Amino acid sequence: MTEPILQIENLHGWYDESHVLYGVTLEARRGETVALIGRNGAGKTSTLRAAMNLLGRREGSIRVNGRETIGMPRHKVAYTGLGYVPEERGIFASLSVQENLMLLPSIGENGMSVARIYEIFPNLRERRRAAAGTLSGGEQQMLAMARVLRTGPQLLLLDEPTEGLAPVIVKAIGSLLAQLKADGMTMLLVEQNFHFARRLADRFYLIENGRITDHFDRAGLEAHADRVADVVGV
Amino acid sequence: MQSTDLYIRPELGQGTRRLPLQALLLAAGLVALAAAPFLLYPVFVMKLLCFALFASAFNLLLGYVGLLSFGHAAFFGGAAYVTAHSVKVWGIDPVAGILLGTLAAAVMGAAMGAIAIRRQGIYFAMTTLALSQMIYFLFLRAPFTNAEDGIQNVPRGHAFGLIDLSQTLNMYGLVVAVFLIGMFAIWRVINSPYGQVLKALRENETRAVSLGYRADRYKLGAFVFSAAIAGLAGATKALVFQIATLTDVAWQMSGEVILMSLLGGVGTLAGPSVGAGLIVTIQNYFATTGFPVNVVLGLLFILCVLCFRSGIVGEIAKRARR
Amino acid sequence: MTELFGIPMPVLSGQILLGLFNGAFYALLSLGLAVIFGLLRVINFAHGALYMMGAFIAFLLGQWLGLPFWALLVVAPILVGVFAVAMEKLLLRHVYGLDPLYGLLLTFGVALVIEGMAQYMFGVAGKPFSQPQALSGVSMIGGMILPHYRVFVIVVALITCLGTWALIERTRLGAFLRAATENRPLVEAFGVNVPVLLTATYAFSALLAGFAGVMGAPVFQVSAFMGSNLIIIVFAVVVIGGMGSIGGAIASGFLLGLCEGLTKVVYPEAANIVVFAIMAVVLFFRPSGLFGKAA
Repeated sequence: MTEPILQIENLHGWYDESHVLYGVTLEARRGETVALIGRNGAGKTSTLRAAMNLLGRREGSIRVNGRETIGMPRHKVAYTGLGYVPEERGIFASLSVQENLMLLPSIGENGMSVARIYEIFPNLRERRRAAAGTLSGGEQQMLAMARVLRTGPQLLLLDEPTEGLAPVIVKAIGSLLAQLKADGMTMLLVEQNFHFARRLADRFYLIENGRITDHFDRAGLEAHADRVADVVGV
Repeated sequence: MQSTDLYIRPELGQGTRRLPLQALLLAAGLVALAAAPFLLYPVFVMKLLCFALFASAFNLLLGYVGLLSFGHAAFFGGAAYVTAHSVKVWGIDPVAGILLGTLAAAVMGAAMGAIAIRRQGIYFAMTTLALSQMIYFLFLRAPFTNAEDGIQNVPRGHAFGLIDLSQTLNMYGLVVAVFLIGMFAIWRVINSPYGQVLKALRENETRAVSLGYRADRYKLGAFVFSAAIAGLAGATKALVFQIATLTDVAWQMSGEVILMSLLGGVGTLAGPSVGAGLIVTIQNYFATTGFPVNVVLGLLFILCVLCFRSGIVGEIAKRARR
Repeated sequence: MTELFGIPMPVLSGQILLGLFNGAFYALLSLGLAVIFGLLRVINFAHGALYMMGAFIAFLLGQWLGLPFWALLVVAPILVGVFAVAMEKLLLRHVYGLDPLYGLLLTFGVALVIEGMAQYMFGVAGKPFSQPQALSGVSMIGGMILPHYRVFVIVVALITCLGTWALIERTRLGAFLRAATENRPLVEAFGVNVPVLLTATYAFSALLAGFAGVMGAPVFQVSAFMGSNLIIIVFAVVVIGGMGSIGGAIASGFLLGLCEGLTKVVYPEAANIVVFAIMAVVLFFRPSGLFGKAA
């Protein structure tokens, strides 16, 4: 069996003085979409931030394509193949849309071309000279994903891509992710919105208070419905 | 705000458990003050006390209100000029002269504070620096200051018309009295309801404001008080050395008082005095050698910021707590 | 002789030129300060000392190696830049996570050391530094007296400022800087070598300061404290302009130099303090500065 693209083992994480992650273990195999489901403050965002070396202190192991990233300087982590779409999008407001799009350094060979990106996101092309801060929430989310796709990642880390967005945008993002998945992209999707995750994910991890409490695949959805309801109140 | 050491909790004056230790230290301090003029050069000790008070006044603003003023020399030197002039040219009683100087400093503090308080943090610091530089130039131009020469040969006079201040021990007594009164005033403000509000503002301004406290008013009040005490120190110094010069209002002086506080321990009551003692001693030592004391002071600044942010008294207090 | 507002043209134009000349230095230095503060969150008190360093290095190299002015304009700033790299790596990097006031105090300490050493090595008196031959002399155009060297400095400073502005606002490298100013950790996580960016930014701003120092050397005396009084005015300029905008820093610098120049004509005694007075007024009505964002 080929090695998983992402392997997190016994990850402990601290944010300043507070201990936020307690031995998180999960993995994502090539081509899979894995969902990390939990409530606000459960540790989902912290897990992704830890993977990008944006958290404070970490202990344990995070391996991307077999390379250990704990201990790596922050500016080298992305080059292991990670594409990060942060919570709240992380758009640079004072830069133009085009500048945001072109900013990130290439990390892989199969980055999407700008032409293709503008095909998929025509409204970004329309607004390419505008200051990115003037974009709507949905447009910013598109930009956040577009700029990461341009760099050619092997694994997409998506932090609540649908949060605070109108249903019609949520649907569009869903289609986009489904298309990416069909094209073979591996994704770690962090979500509170279980319905959204459920359509895309192959496997599910439930996280509560910094600990992974459940782990199941599509076949186990029925059996774990109660647990899901506990964790996200669905 | 919590992530910085600049705003440490006051080490002394907190909790009744510490009372015996504090009383002991205070008693020891008073004994030292009484003995000092017989063991060291009296003028040196008087200089030390003036700067200790100056640094403590500055430290009130930084350690307890959280405002870094880079312009305190304006109050120190401004009061020195006013006192020197009023005693020498108008011939008033030296104590009245000191009070006049203090008042002048308070007025300058009100004017400077009203403008500077509008910004926070780094902008506040730069504004105070610029405003004090403006005051420097005003004093440079003003005819009564005699520019580079300064006001010299200021007579010490007779305090209350009775006590001859040209006698060293009498002058020393006055300086000690001024120092103790000034330090007591600072201590009182810190441990008063006013001081509590200041502390609340420093720790969580939004919250305090939502509770109805006019942040600007409190900060301005603290600024004026700090300026006044700094002026008190400068006015007294003018009488000790019988001179008032541009050096007293220069921005380098503002920098020195910051270092005294930093070195001794910002946010501690005794820290600035300890820092002042050290800096004055260092300056005295290097004055005789050809080596520019600024280099030493600069190195001390760098050292304090990089490895020694709590200052001497702060470090001692930290260890004592363990 | 033509007059404007009762002031003879040559006098007025001369002071305007002088004002723009001083403004050139204010602009170059406040530009550097604004860039450093934006990205590093440090108020670089040492900026005046770096300016002085540029002048002194030019003086020394001119003396020892006999290098011509044009060479000094290139070499001296580079040496200042090298020093700045060392300073950033050894000292500044330790205060990045702290309250910006620590950065102010640290760089203040560095300024004291640099100026103290300069004082120790060269004394307090100013050193002479001659204007380059090619730029000496004046031209008369329409009643205005134009000293060549001053015009040269104004033009070069303007080009440098605009060039820096373009570099920051219109290139990808500048985009890195602007993005990192907004969110440093995220830019780093995306793969941009932010530590190098920080060092390079500090060094570049120092280079600009050193460059200003070389240009100032022939006019102002090269002395240990030539930077320290200048830096305080530059602080005032930066408070007036607001540190959020590069263009604002440049504009404020030239504008305030101009105001200073005009004040010298109308009310000479106030020339020293007019910048501070303007700062007080601006703070009263527009606390975030003329071009700043409310912060």
